[in-house]
Amino acid sequence: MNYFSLVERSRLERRIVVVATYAAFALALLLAPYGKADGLLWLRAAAIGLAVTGAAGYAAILGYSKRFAVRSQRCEHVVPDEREAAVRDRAMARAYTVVAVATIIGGAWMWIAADDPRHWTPRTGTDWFEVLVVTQVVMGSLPQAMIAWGEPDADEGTDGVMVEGLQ
Amino acid sequence: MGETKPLLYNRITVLRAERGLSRQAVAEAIGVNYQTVGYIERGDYFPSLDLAFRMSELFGVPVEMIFSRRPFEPLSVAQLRMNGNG
Repeated sequence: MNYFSLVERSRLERRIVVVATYAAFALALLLAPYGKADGLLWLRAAAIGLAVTGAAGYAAILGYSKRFAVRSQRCEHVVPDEREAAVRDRAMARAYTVVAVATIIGGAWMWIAADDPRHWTPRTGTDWFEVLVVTQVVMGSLPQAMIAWGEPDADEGTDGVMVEGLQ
Repeated sequence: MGETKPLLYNRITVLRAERGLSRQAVAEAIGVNYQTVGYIERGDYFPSLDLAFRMSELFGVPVEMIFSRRPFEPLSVAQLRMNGNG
């Protein structure tokens, strides 16, 4: 078994990787501002470590879902069959809906809270960088994460031919 | 959550068993991932007409012997009826 591949992993393990990836990115973003203070180098190191962990999970999720995503007819071994194409299209549609709704809510929040210093809105370059990172991570990985989350275990379907009562 | 009843019944499990074919072998023969065969068998995915005909060719039986909108009767009962004993 390739320990860095999700292909042979159970659905539970894949779901753990998906949750850990997003949690690592979220924690890294939360910790990063505190790590800027002098004397809190360990926080900065933790934020970097979490970001690297998140990036590793991100790569694993993309790698697992490659079979569903590649459309090239020249790569027959990774061309999705009709069910996989349907799963991919459904995941992309759902991810688009999530991103579209989140964008509308985010835009509305910025419009409402932009002039109110009590509420957080992106104001500095660092803030906007964080928004960009979150947008990139979510838009880049959500369809694949949905596929990794929902696909059955690899050994479902490799059974033999035994059917009760038949010889 | 109640289990939803499939709208398309199939005999793929029985046909595979009769011919000694694993899902992997069926998948390779009809050009899909083996998990897709499992999805179709369980009624979780309804195949396209093209895929249904590929299965029909593989098993050597008409499509309507593999898929049906109504529950299938056992093959043994159908055979008895065809022989005029049922």
